[in-house]
Amino acid sequence: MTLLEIKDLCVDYTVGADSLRAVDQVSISVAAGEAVGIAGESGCGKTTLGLAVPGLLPANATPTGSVQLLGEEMIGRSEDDLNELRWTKVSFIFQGAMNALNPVHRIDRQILEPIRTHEPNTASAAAKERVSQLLELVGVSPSRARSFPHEFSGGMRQRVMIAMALACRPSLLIADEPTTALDVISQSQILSLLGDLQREQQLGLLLISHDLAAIRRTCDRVVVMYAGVVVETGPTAVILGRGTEKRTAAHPYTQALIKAHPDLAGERVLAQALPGHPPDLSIPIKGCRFYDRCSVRKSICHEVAPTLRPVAGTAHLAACHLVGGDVT
Amino acid sequence: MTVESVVEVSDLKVYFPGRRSSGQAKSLVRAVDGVSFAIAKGEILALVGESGCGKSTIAAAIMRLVAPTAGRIASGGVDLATVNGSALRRARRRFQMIFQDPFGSLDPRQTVYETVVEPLVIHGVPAEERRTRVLQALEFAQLLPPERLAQRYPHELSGGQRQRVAIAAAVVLRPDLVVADEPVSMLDVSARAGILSLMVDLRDRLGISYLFITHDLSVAWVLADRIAVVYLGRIVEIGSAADLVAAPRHPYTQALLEVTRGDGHRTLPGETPSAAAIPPGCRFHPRCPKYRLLNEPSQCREVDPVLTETATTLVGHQAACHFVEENP
Repeated sequence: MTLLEIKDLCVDYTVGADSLRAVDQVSISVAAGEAVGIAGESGCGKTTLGLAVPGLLPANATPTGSVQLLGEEMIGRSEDDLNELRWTKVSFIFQGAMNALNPVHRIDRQILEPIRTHEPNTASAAAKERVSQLLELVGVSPSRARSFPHEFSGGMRQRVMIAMALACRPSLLIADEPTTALDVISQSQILSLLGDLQREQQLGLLLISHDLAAIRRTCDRVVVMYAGVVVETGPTAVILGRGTEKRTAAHPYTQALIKAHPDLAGERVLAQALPGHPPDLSIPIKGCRFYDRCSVRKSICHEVAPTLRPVAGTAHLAACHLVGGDVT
Repeated sequence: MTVESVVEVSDLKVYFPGRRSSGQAKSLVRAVDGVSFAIAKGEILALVGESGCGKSTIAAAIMRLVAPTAGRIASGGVDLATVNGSALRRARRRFQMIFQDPFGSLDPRQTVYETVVEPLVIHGVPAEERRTRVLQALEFAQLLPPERLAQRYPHELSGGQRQRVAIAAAVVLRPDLVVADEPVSMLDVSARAGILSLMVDLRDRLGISYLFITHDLSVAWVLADRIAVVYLGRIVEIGSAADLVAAPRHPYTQALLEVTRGDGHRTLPGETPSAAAIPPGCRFHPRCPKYRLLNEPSQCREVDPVLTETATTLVGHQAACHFVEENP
């Protein structure tokens, strides 16, 4: 059974009389022990997608479609039901999550909280023992369990948040920009930790990030979103390249994203700016959503919205008319 | 010196009183602990380091937003570390700053025109010249058409456009030096490239020099002429951007490069120590891979290394490591 199966998910936000579709017909699956990265710029819908899984969308958002976690449908579930599943089946680490720790409680108490809530029958000694194990797992000395959050650096606090997220042994961890607020060395340490946990604990990982380097190093597969839709998906090593493997991103947006960041292994030149802005989603779009900013667009792109099609084999798909020989 | 310098910083120190812990003497936070560098006219110097390394404090001292504890900041025949009153005011006209957060650094109640005209008002530019100069600055910042953009409020602009407004306000007085503290790290990748090429364009057109502060070595590499790597209040390595990335000499620079490249999974152990408790000898030795590899030579624990040029490095490429010859 697939750990997470998202099918044709749409999320509509209502603001006053206006409505806006932030996520449009997105399908993604994550297997147990698999790491999947969601890439894209701010406003592309990647955070909305992540929030939809554990049912954490704001009140003005309406999800439709299907989100199955371990075979159970998440959409339309009651809040009580969702509370049962959060922490035990799926945990969520937010961007800047290290600032979500309660400043007036010692960290051991905060890690204990989900255990006490979801497994009230756990004996106190056993629960404390688990806190020690969790801290050790994330690389924090258990001797610091009685510390307050302010006694830790940002990287250490993020480790504590990860320990907390794993406290009730979830099968899926959703991490939304977990390293964005951290230094490069701490980023690297946290990404290594997430990778190790995912492999050793058979944890499913959904890593949401604008940082392609973070996704390249942590994830097996990558999903690139633009203006609420998936524009490209496939094995990370194929799309973003890894080691000696050459990257073969097929969608012009993915290519532009890759080129926008300087590559120390490439040429020492300033990146080409990607002109323009993502489209306004409150206005219906007929053709390709990337049309306005695309450097290789054709007339069909303005008329017909491209669907995902195979680039090579069945694993690598891109939503572009120029892929697969429709248009030359 | 053959090339004219815009600013020459020598042995700059900025110390802050630390917290008093029970029974102990008050500690001293050595945020900037003896830093020297010069910036030539039209040069871009990048200060690269992690948060807390002192790079922003160096910038603040040059702008005299904090008072230096010791050292000289020589520019235009005055020492900015000590001048006050009208001399400081005149100097401030030649140095301008842009900040990380384009959402927080603009007054939401001021139009673009009001924001950009403010420096002209403060520095007594005659009223009849102001409008022309504001429109010209907006044009320099590629906020086109300037007449229309001038009437906008910050909330009507994208992140990239807001940062362009901040740049227009910084260059409207035609400064010699712009200090840019992480100017692109809050922007989307597609907007970053535009801001960086704008900065280079203004250097070429107006001869502006930059002190560019960033945690991202790859951005520094493509943008800057020279890079200075800062660790715990000290420059540990400085050299031409191409040279420093191609042949890093300090173990800290080597580690930063490795995590930035993202291909190696080795990271430095532990965290940067507190600036209130800088390790004796070489401040990097407790985390240094080379120190361990060489069986912990006592020199590293006892003697504070100074920046040295070596026979194997190009002129102007210096590293503060006792074993610089053994760091290929």
